[in-house]
Amino acid sequence: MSVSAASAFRALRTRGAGRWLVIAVPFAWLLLFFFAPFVIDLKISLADVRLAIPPYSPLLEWTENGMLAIRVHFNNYAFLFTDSLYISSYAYSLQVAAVSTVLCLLLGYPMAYGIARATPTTRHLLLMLIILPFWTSFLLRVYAWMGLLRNNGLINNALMALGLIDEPIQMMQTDFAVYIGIVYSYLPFMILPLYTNLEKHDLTLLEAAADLGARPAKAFFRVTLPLSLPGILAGSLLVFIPVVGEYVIPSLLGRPDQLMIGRVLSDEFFANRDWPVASAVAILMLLLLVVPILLFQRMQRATTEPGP
Amino acid sequence: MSLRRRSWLVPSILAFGFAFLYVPILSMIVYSFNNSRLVTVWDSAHSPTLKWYAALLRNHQILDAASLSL
Repeated sequence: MSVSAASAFRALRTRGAGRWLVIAVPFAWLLLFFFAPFVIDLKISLADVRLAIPPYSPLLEWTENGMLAIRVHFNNYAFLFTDSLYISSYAYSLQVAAVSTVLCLLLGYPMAYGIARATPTTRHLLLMLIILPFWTSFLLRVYAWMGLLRNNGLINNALMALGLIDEPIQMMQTDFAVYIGIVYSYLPFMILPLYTNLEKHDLTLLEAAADLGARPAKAFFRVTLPLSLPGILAGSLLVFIPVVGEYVIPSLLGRPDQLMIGRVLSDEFFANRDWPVASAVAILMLLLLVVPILLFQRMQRATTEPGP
Repeated sequence: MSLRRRSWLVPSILAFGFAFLYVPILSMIVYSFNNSRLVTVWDSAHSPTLKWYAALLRNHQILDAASLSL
């Protein structure tokens, strides 16, 4: 083996070790903080509820004659399908998440586009303004919406003072308030990935489209929109997934008669103290989210890697 | 140039979006100077007032909580 080949081989080996280390750290992190809690959750969801500490039956137990008994209860999962509360909460959560994602996209896309096409100075200022609301507490901002939306709140008072309405519109505790709150809170998560994508676009492509006779609208739909699909997917994923499990916003602004699944989960856990059912709700929610995540990933792969 | 023709659309949505993001925060700041105990009733006779800020500085529990957050 020549000297240069040996040093190249050595370089390759150290690079391999480095790569392994780089992967190992996040992998260990995920194993410890995602997979381990998931396994514990799965274990509790297969237990039976008990008046004890911890409030569920053990999965493995030594019987009196020295045998190891495994007791698995699937009735927690069966229970979720017998009571319509759970099914309707899952469906409602998915509906809220889907509508909020579309609303965030409709508002966020033009905003990201406007920021990406602004002059560099304004661009930084506008980006700062998008990030700035994060500096105040999320909870306080939702409370501020309560002050705006309630029956004697700012919006109703202003409309009544203008004589547009005679009595206040009921906005609190409606789906409308939930959508407002969620779009408000998650809009930056839609704008930032879209901006990163739109900002990298080669504007000469639009000039080429114009040269070839495409109107701006057509050039947008044929060039800009397809190129921004990865950004749309990333933003939608960042909004959709957390909104499905959203708990605070619907509790503060939403309808009392229709709960989202995050609220059902916390009620099972804290109010009912039924840990096994709460765990089953969480596992089922995770399974429900795996489908859109896989779908998104598949679409993302299809848009970022050109097919053969 | 035809590219400029629809250019009012994006800035107006941008303005709307930023208004949407900042109206709640601004309303919160404005109402912190309100004299009334009721959050949304503006007591115009005695406002603006700094009494909530004075109350905040007297409340050691909140100040301790704030320093812990920091």
